[in-house]
Amino acid sequence: MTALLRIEDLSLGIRTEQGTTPILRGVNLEIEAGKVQGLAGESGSGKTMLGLTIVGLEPTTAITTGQIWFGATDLLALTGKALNPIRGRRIAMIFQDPSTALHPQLTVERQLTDHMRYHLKVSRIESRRRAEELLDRVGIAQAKASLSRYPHEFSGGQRQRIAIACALACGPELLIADEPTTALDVTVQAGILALVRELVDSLGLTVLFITHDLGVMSAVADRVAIMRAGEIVEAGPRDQVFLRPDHDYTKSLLAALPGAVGGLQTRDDLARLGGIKGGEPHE
Amino acid sequence: MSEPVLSARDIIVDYPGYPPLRAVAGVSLDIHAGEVVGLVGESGCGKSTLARVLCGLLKPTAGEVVYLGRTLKPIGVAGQKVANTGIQMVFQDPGSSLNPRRRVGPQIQDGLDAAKRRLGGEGAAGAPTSPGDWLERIGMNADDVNRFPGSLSGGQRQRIATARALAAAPDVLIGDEPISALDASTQARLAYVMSSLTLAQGAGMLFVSHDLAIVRLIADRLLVMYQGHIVERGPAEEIWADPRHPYTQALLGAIPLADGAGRLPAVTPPGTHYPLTEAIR
Ligand SMILES: Nc1ncnc2c1ncn2[C@@H]1O[C@H](COP(=O)(O)OP(=O)(O)O)[C@@H](O)[C@H]1O
Ligand SMILES: Nc1ncnc2c1ncn2[C@@H]1O[C@H](COP(=O)(O)OP(=O)(O)O)[C@@H](O)[C@H]1O
Ligand SMILES: [Mg+2]
Ligand SMILES: [Mg+2]
Repeated sequence: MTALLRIEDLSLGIRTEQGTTPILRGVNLEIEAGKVQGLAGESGSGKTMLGLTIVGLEPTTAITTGQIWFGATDLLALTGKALNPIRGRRIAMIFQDPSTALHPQLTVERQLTDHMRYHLKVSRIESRRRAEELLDRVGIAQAKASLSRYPHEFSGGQRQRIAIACALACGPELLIADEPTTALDVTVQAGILALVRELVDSLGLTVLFITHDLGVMSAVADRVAIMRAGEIVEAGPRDQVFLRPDHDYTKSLLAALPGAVGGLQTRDDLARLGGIKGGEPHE
Repeated sequence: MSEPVLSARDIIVDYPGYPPLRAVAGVSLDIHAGEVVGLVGESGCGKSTLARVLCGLLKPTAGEVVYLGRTLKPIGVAGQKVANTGIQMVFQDPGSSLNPRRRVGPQIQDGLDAAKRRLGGEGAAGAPTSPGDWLERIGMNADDVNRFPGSLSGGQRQRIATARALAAAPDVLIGDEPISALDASTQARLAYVMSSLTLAQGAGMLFVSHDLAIVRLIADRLLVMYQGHIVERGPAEEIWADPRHPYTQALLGAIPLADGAGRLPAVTPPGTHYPLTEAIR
């Protein structure tokens, strides 16, 4: 396997007045080129922090150790300006709320072309042509007319598609998608998942897909990593993790899910699960 | 079947605007004692609006809610509080059901007091009679009575909100997305705790959620809502196995299952419109 990104023994702590709070603990993960690497875990487990650290957007109070190899470059060793040719250009990130990436007062054209003109130094006309192509690519109908519209004129699902177009504007090798469908209805989510898959299969894009939803993970990811309290407790090919999970934590997550193999199929399964006093594993 | 405890008849809700927005467009439904009814549909279809009409928090533009054989007067009209009635509600955000500045015990006691005022004597038969006993019933510890909601996890707060609501000995418990903000491993457990305790009290339940995969496990019957209309209703297992309305089919087909198969959920073209008439089953 060729790893596009290799995370080695990454730990991250947040400095506070009381000392350092550990958030990521010795994370190792290889993201294979041209595949969707899923990262799943419950809220607060550190998924977003891991994504932000890859693009150098971790909080300023963070202390990191370890390496994040992108080719022969250790991203953790880069600071400030040195990150610019990579962040947003070779590695792009999208979030649960597409508004994070979209400026409410700029037209869709400006959002798309500013990235290109900054990173790729292409002309106004060329960037406009590419912007239209990108919108079409991500499934925005009437791409040309949409260029002059503003983010609020689009639905949530369309805004996420536009955010994906912005992320793709500079032809990145890696897209980090942090819960990109969590705020969307399932029928809208289905379209975004299909789009991500299509971009990977046809453009050879590599995606780190972060989600708390193991159903989404099962649909879209080739390889899966399960995170708990800042640690990756299990990682492997999708079918292995879902059908033959190794770690008790993975098993307990799947056991509480409708639709998982060994999960909740009937009301009796639910009664058995719910009957466990105290219930939630992390409470 | 016995008389329903709570019925909606031809409910219409318009929100003011130009033009007004019809959030609920003529819905009738019944909830009986001892059954769990699941109300499912995607965001904006009118579930919360309907739920608020059913517990008297919102006056419908037209139609009536019948509670124990009588027309339900919207809350506030008679100066009563929703906390005191036989129709109790638990919301998605436990913050809206619990006061962050009060300890857990007294808040459950409020529910017990409401039951005593309404029913006289000791409240509901067979139910716990103290906040500590309620905490144990819902899978927590009796000495959690002294904690503040802020020191509890989301799942625990929803357990407290459930205890508070059930301590009021309601005839109907309405949960509006009560599990949606929780981690997946907590969702199914809480859905089970809420529905089984409600049934143990002999009450009926309306469980509102956009997550059909979990709702179908606890609900006896399902109502599928789309653009203000109920487009399909029937026994939960039958709808899950054999959805008839094209919207229900799309909704079911779009649910990604954690089966490890790497199957993308079915995509419906954006802007697809479905019929608003109810499917015949
Ligand atoms: N800016 C920050 N400063 C301090 N702690 C943070 C910050 N952002 C997140 N955390 C903490 O880091 C942990 C992991 O958070 P996050 O990566 O957002 O989890 P996830 O995305 O898995 O839900 C949590 O305990 C969270 O409270
Ligand atoms: N207070 C309100 N004023 C105006 N419109 C509202 C109000 N509450 C909800 N709506 C609108 O009514 C419709 C139904 O909303 P809601 O009942 O909250 O749906 P759901 O709970 O299914 O997501 C939506 O279009 C929503 O924007
Ligand atoms: Mg996150
Ligand atoms: Mg709602």
